[in-house]
Amino acid sequence: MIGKTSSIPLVKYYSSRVTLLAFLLFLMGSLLLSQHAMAQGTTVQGSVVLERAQKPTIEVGGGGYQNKFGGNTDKKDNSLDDVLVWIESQNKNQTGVKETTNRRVLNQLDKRFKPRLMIIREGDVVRILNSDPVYHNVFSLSKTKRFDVGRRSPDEFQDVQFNKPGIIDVFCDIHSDMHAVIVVASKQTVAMQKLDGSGKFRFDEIPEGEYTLHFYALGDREESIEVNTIDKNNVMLEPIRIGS
Amino acid sequence: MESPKFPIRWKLLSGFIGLALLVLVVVLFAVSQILDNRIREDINSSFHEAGKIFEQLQDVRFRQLRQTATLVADMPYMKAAISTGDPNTINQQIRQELVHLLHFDPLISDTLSSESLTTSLDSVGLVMVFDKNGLPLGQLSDVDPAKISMSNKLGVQKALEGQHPQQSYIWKQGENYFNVITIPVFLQDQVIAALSLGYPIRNREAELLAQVIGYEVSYYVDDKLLTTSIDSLLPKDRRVLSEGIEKASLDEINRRGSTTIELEMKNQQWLVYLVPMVQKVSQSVKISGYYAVAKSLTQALEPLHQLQRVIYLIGLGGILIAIVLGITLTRNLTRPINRLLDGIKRIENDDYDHPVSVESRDEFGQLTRTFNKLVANIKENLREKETLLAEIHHRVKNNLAVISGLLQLESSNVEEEHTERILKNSQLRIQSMATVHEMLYEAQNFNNLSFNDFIKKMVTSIHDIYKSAYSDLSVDIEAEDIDLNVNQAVPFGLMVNELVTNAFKHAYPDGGSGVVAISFFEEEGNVVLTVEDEGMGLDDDFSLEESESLGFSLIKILSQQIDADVTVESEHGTKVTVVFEKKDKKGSSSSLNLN
Repeated sequence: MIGKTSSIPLVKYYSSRVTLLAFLLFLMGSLLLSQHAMAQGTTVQGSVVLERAQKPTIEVGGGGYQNKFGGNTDKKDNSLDDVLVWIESQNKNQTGVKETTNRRVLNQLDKRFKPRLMIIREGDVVRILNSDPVYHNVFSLSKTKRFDVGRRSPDEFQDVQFNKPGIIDVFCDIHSDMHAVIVVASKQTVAMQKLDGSGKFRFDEIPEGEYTLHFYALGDREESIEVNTIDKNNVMLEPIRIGS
Repeated sequence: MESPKFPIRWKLLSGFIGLALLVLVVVLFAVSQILDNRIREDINSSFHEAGKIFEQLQDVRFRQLRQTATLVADMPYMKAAISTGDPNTINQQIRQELVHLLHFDPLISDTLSSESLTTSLDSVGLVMVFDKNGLPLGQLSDVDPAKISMSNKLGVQKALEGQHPQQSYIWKQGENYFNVITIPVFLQDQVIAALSLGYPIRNREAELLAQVIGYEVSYYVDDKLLTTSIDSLLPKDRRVLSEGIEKASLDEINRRGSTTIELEMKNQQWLVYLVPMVQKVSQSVKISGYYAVAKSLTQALEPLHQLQRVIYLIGLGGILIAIVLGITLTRNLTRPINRLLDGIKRIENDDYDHPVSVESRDEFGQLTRTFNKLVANIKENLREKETLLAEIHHRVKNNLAVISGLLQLESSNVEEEHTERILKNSQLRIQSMATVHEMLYEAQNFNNLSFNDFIKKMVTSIHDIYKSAYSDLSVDIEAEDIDLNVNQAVPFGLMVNELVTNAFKHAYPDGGSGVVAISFFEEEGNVVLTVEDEGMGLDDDFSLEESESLGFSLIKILSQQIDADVTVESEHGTKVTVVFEKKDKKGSSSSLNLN
């Protein structure tokens, strides 16, 4: 699961890049097509209203350690407003979901995980990269995936494969305030998105069937709803509230 | 002069020393009272100091606790464990972190090391983690299955709001009480949980504090005495302390921030200083208990009380000495004076034979001895003079006897009857004077003369002289025992002589038988003499004033000399009565009496 950097052939790395590009081109093309011709699947769209995460009032002097150990708390953390949304088929044998060799990168920069919130599909590999001039570590105590990559010097990276769906909190044992959440979506997941500030989402060309739409925001704010796309071209959902 | 062995000035001096000792004791007692107050005040003011140290210590404790808690809360593994939300993971992590911290945090090692770490961490410390709703996520012991929200516990809600604690709170967990702080656990500015860390309020805690501040320390929480550093406190004493704290004036605590009460525990008097455990709850302030700083007044005052006991003893000794000295002194001073006075009174009564007894060896003793010596000297002198006087009286009597003898010789040679009578009379008169002197020197008493003896003697001698002529006359003497002063005795003796001679001569001029009755007695301070005969009697026109006979003239003159009334009656003979006042008259003739 955790491959060493040297064990991954360079050719394979580039080929996966090519595949990614091809997939993106295909997606763009199909988007363009759907606007002009009859769509081949259902479009699911809606919006998310995120209850604001509480902003702590840190008393002067009280959180001395917070600043000392937590690193750059002065930077505004926008990732709190991010919402992951993914659509999961309720059919366990759902086909048409391509095996991805989608390689994702979890960067460690400025004593922060970047991104702080990411979603991958079951079986995906995440490359954890240390872009800081200091040592970092990545570990997780989450039941879904317990791991500890150990301490790594600057510019070292490590690939971690996630074979079980779930939500994994990732920490650095050197910098206590570094935190990231990796959401591992199941294999049946047909599409996933990370929403920006607008809070609107839209999934196109979803095959007909019964689905569960999952939402996740930092601070264990979760929500899921059932969506049925059978005999529907367009599913417009009511605004979904995600609270703590 | 020998110096007295125990002079009065020593007695006076020791008396004054006793008095001074008493004054000193009174002063010392006052001073000790002042000291007593001062010690109380000192204890009180040092209580304030102790209270300050106490608060500082509490503050240090609080900071230590906060530091430890912050360290625990900032452990990445702890955060990771919390983010799993799994009690087992969290509990495991808590234990791991605490064991690590044992070597780091003095507070934890202090709380843990004294008791076996393996048996139970729970008994020595409190660590709890709550989620954002205050539900316990994990704690040193197993999580309470009831999953009751702890957000109502003091400090938890604030921590969950992201506030760092400014003070510790007292929690009751199970049967134990803990001093607890709760801090928020942050993850990138987000509060993900709250962590509570506390150390139990135990005897050891109080004992350590007591060692530091030097006073006994007790914790009174939740209306009960949690712990105390006072040794072997009986349940009764604990109750006394608790009641004392309950009754403590809240007004004073509110006004001054503390109060001092006085109790009796363990048979000792205690001063107890109460510092409230103030817990700020939102806007209000709650007193959840008291820190009681106690000091045994009895122990603190022990040296003073010892001093007081010594003072009392000295005082008692001083009083005893003063009383004893007072009594002996007054006795020593007054008794000799009184004795001396008695001695002087005795001298006044001519008693020279009883010297004043000498008891003391002081100045009075000396004075008494000197007085006795003086009296002895006077007595000696007096005896010499008496001897001399007796000698003189003897010579006078002898001379008078010689004159009387000469007159007798002359009278036997005289032919003429008239001349012979004159001579005989003169002889008798001189004879009577000689008798007085004779009796005086024979009696050895020159003051008083036993006059009845004198009368008898004189009558006998008159009788002797006139025997031949009046052989048949009998004299009947009836005389009381009366002493007469010499001044009265001599004239009165001459008067008796004249009267008796008259009776002999004139009552029975022709001789013959008859009785001359002489009575001599004392009546109401007056001496009464009657000379009575049964003779021919006096002429009818006889008057004493006009009588020109030498006998009556003499009687007149002599009666004037002793202020005597002389009455003459003549019915069946003659009766002469002489009445005069008896006087202890002192004159030049009795000047030998030195009184």
